[in-house]
Amino acid sequence: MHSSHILLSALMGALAATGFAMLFSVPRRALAMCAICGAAGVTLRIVLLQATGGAVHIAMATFSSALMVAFLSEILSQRTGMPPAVYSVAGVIPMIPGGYMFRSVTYWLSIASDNAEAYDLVVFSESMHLAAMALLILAAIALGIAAPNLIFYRRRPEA
Amino acid sequence: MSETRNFTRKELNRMAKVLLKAARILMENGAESRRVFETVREMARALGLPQTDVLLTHRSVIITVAAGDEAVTRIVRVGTLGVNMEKISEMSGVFRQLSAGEMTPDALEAALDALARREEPYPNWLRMIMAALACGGFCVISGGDARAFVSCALAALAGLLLRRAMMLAHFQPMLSVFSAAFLSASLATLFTRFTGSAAPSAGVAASVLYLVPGVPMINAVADLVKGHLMTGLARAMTVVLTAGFVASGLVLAMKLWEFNY
Repeated sequence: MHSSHILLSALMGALAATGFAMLFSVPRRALAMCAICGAAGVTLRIVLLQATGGAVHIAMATFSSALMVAFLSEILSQRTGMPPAVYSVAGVIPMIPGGYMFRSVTYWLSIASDNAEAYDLVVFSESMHLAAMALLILAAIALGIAAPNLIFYRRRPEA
Repeated sequence: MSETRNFTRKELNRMAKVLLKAARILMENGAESRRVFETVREMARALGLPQTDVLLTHRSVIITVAAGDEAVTRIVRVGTLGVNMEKISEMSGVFRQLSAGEMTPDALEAALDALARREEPYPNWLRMIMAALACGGFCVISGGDARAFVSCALAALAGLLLRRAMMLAHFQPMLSVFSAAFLSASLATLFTRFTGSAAPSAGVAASVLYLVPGVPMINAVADLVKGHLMTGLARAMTVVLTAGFVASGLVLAMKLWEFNY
C-alpha cells in the first residue's frame, strides 16, 4: 500500500470538504469536523479498495465510507445540537466521482464528434460503462448519507 | 403551550404566516422535505394549534391551520434555492427554544425574521478561494499532479467569479452555469497545456466540480426514499438539468481548444 498516496488523498479530501463546507455556509465551529469527515471518508474508501486489491466494488466502498461519515455526523450532531447534514453533506462531497462523470460525458459526445455516418461502438460502450459506474457511486453516496435517518427515526410517522 | 384553546381567525392567520416563514427559510437554504415537514408540524404543536396540514412543492409551500370552526390557508412562494447550513442549523435552535416554552409567537416571528436576514458566515472572496482550492483537491484525488492542481484551482476561481457576476446581473441560472463551466474548462485546458501537466484530464474534469449540485442531489435521493416523490423528482430534474449544462460547457470548451483526453 502507498501510505503517502493515502495521506495525500486524506489531505485533499479535507481541503475539498472544507471548501464546499464554506460554499454551503456551514457554521464556523463545525468547519474542522467537516474537514475530518471529508478526510475520513476518502481514506476509508482508498483503504477498502487497496487492502482488498480491488475485490470490493468502488460503489460498495463508497457506500461504506458514506455510511461511516453519516454515523460520525450523527454522533457529532448529538454533541453539538446542529443537524447531521451540517457535517455529512460536506463530508461526502470529496467522494463525488468527478473523473467517471467527466470521461463518460466526453466519450459519449465523441461518438458524435464529426459528420461521419459510422460511430465507434467501443467508445460508446466505454461511455455507458463509465456512466453506470458514476451513477452507482452517486447513488451509494446519497443512500449512505440517508441511512442513519432511515434506521433510527422510524417512530415518528411521515408528515 | 397548553391543550386546545380557541383561536380567532386573526390569530390563525398570524400563526399560518409565521409557520410559512419557517418553512420558507428551510426550503430556500437546502433542507430536505422531511425536515421542513417535521419542523412546521412540531412548531405548530408547540404553538398549541390543534390541526395543521402542509403541502410542499418545489417552489412553494401551502399550509392550512384549523381550530374549531375556523380554518386558514396560506401559500408562500419560495425564492432562490441556495444552500446555507448555518440557517438550517440555527432553525433547530429556534425550535428548541420554542418547544421549551421560552417563546411567544411574537418572539418566534422576530427570531425567524432575524434568521432570514442573517449574513453569510464567510466573506465572498474567502468562499470563492476555498471553493477553487477544493476543486484542486478533487483534481489530486482523481490522480492530478501539482501542475494540474494549480491550473484547476485558477480555472475554477475564474468560473466562480463569472458565475457570481452573472448571478448579480440576474442572468438565467442555467446560463450562468453553462458560461462558468465553459470558462473554467477553457482555462483549465489552456493552463494544463501551458504548464505541461502530466494529468491534464484530471485538471479539466475537476475545474467544473464547484458547479455540481451536491446538496440538491443528496436531497433528491433523501426525498425520494422517504416518500416525498413530488419534491424529490423536482430536485432530481434540477440536478439533471444543471449537470447537462455543465457537461455542455465542458465539452464545447474541449472541442474548441482541441483537448485530447
